[in-house]
Amino acid sequence: MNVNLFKKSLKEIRVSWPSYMVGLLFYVYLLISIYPTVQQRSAEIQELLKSYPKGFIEIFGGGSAVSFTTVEGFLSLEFFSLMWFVIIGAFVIGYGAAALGKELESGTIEILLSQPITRTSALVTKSLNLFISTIGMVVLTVLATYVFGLVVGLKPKVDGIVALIVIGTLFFLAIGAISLFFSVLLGERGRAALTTSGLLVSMYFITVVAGLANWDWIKKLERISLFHYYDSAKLLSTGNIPAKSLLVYAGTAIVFYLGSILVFRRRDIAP
Amino acid sequence: MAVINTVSLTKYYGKTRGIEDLHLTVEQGEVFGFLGPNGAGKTTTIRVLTALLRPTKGTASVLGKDAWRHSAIIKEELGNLPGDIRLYDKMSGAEFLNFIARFRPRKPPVLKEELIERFDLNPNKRIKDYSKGNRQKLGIVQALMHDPQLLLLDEPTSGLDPLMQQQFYAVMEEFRSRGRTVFISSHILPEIERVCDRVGIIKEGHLVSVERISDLEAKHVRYVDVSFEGSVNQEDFRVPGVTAIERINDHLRITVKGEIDPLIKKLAQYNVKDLASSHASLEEVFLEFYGKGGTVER
Repeated sequence: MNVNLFKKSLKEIRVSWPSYMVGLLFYVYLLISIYPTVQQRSAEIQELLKSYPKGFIEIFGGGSAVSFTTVEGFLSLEFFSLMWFVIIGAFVIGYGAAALGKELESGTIEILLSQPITRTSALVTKSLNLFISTIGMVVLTVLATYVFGLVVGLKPKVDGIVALIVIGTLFFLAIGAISLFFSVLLGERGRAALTTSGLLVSMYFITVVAGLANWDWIKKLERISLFHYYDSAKLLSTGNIPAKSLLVYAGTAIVFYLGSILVFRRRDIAP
Repeated sequence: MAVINTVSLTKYYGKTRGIEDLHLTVEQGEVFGFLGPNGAGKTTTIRVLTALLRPTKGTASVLGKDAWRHSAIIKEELGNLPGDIRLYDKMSGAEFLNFIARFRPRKPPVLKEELIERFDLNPNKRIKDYSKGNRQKLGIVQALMHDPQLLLLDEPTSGLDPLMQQQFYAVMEEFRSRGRTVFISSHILPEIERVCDRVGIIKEGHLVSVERISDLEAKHVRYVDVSFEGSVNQEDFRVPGVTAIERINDHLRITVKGEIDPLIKKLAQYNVKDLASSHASLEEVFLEFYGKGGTVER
């Protein structure tokens, strides 16, 4: 790792990351603060939910333990199933694509690699920043739900919070690694971000359809979707960390990260 | 000792030729010019030497080490000025130079302040506010400031005004006198003649010739445009070195290859109204040296 480059990368997100976090935490607080009101009418809302087709709930991220009677079920449906992916996913995809994609696209990579730094070191340093900011974002948002929950008199389960932090962190690290991989492969931020987003939307779509249809092939295909291994409602309510999810996310992150290093070490740099 | 050595160095971009079968040796303490028209393969060669491109075939060694495998070690002692340099626009000139300097904690930027002063660079401005010339000056300062053993400079005077070009040539002289090795790519023949000891001429990806500058000057083509008071017989100017004489409107265009002195002495015998001398374009030099097919005429 190169400390000089790390400091420069850190400086680049010194405004954007905190600003993004402030907005995100404010959103979490608003969400938590309305739950006591929602809870008072949870029986009616639960009845309403039952009247919807299963697919409808799936589309909006309803997992196995969807319920408005508990704070875990509410948080899962209202935040950790879809909104969380969109908000943190947008940051991670964008930042993953920009970590080296920006240098490749603008041509500054030529001056950077004219310095005594190996390509691996340049990539590791740039991605370290991506991974730290991703972990920070996941941990802070999940912890915020717990802390804000306490403030408004709720008490989400601690082991559920821990389980979500572990799985959520690995999930977003996997997305970051995919975005990084496409950025070094394609050499452009925009194309890398679009490719990663397209891949994730396809995965989400496959998971939703697999939940609605009874076709064998889509049930099999669903296994390639990262969303198949994620169930925030179950994580928050049981506090169990599924080994399969852990392996899939950690494996995806490692494979794409190593792939990024391999591709970047061998690719031509020609702005 | 060879500071740069390439053997059968070849780079293809897919099916497109970059350079092909390049055999090149640059010795320590030499200022070597790499001359060729745009698209000839000059930048490709420098990018292979700096490990930005991986050779398709052949090998390149720089400072005695494999250019691809040991690039990070090599760059401790290498100053590189990329062609059409791209910089970090949000930084100021000073921030950028400090950022670059911190990559070499064992090689402090001993020439930084001197170069900033000599190139009349304002390091406090944001890079995005720099003119093309100032960006080029900043690029030159970052490449030279740690006094590296080897300089790779791609079109270094591009965008510099004539005064700064002179300053650059003076700095190159000083690097030469300190025993540093300099590799300059350019498409400007007089510039190469001015600062280099030897020149490699590249055309369509092939190194067609390596000449000493003194030998190159002997083959040099100039055009002398001269007008006279009264009429003259153009055949009077067929002195050694003159290869063609053409009458254009009210003046003569005399093509001279090699020594110009016999022609000057002849002209001195006449009442000359106006005189201008210009260098042949690089393409014309190529045609003169190598014929249309690009093969060396010996």
